[in-house]
Amino acid sequence: MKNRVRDERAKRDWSQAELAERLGVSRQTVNAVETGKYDPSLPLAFKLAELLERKIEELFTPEE
Amino acid sequence: MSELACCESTPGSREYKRRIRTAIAGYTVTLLLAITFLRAFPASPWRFPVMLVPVIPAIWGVVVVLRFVRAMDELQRRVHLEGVSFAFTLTVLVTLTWGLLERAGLPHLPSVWVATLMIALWGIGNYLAARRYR
Repeated sequence: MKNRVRDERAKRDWSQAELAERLGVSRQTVNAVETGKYDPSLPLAFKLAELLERKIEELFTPEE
Repeated sequence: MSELACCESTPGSREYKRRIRTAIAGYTVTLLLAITFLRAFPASPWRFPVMLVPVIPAIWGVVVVLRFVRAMDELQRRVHLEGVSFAFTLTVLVTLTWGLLERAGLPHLPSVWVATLMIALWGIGNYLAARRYR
């Protein structure tokens, strides 16, 4: 899955560590999501969408 | 008990490391004291309870690990599951193979080495699994 988490995080000037703290996960998990190495669960994806004020489908798109 | 290579930034991971080190140190010290006692008094009626004393810090180690796993996030749990699966399946494979070879004349493998093997493979498995998500 492709995602825009890194771009949206950068817009808010948050570090990976800051976003991780807001999400209640480790910085490595945020990095793995951003680099597409890990697709988050639905609850974590919803939390990301809420924090980044985007709809889930705006943040995550299926790989074509 | 090995430290979990996957979870360096888990909330409370420093506390986890401190607690697991305390458990390992407690196990090592009580084991050395128990072995010293056994060598000095090999026929003592206390030899069984004395040899069980190191189990107390080992139980504490189990509690610490389980609490830490419950505090992990979803990716860390996945990494940990992969690490544990790696350790479990390889330990089964090695011990079964060794068991077969024992019948052919290989020396008997003391059971304490099975736990040591599993813990070592657990650390390697966690490291390998964590590497895939970096």
